[in-house]
Amino acid sequence: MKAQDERGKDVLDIDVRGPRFSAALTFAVLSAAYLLKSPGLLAFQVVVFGVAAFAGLRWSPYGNVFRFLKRNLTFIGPPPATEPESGPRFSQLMGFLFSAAGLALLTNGAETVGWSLVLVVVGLSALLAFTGICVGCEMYALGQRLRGKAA
Amino acid sequence: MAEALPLLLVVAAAALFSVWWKRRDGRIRDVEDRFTAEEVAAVGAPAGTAVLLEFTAPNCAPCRATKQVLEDVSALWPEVALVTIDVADALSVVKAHHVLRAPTTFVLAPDGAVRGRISGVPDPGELADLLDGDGGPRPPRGRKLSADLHVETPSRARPRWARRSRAA
Repeated sequence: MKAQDERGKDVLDIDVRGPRFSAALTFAVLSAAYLLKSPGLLAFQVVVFGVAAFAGLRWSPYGNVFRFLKRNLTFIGPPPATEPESGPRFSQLMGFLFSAAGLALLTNGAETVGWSLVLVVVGLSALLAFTGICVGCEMYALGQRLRGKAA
Repeated sequence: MAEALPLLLVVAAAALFSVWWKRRDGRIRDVEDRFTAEEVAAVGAPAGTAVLLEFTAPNCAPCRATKQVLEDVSALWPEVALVTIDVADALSVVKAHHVLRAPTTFVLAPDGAVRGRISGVPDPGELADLLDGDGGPRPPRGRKLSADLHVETPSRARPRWARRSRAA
């Protein structure tokens, strides 16, 4: 689905439940990676974040799992609302940066710091899964304030 | 087992924050605050009237849902002005009133006093109750309109507003 944002740019509109579903999967995968101390599982999640952030949510692996389930499980129903992909895509990018940094650190010996970064992502994905918080909206107000301060 | 402790702490912290967040989200808070005449003008609101003022962000689904609620509610009170403004377009006001999120809505009395502040999508019934309250603007023709609104939106789950798809 295509829609236009407030500035007239074409953006992909997504089901608001998609990011919550993805966050729940992310939470499960990263928790398992932490408990098993598995860099392989963490690397898998880094790739998932990277695809969603750089190729767009149309290609998001977890997003496509959600779409597959929607097509096959009728009780999930139509989207209660849709939102532009920009905000969720930005949070995928943040997830990518944190988890990739964590992976780089722990494969280079800094295990504690590396896994701590992973735990940060675990906490944020749990938050998103629990609340469905609109990350883009939250970041925007804070970002504008910071930018205003710098100017 | 000790290995799992940091993970459990992180999950517990996220769960606690989520509970706090959900209790606060969309609720009208009674705050001691006042907009100066300059600030009312800066956000483009008319002077000397009650105002529903929403701070928005671009590409923000809850902001659109909030605007819909405010439009529906303010339609019942023609004397209440509705103003939506991007956070970036009123930074000084945003900072002065410690707006950290979008959407944040202020219910302003004609003299600029803040009668209520809402983070997140407001509950239409609660908002109507506030507008209907003592000293506030009166509903047209003396009808108790908030009661009508409650019939339309029986729960706080706001299904009617959330279900409206904007994909088309």
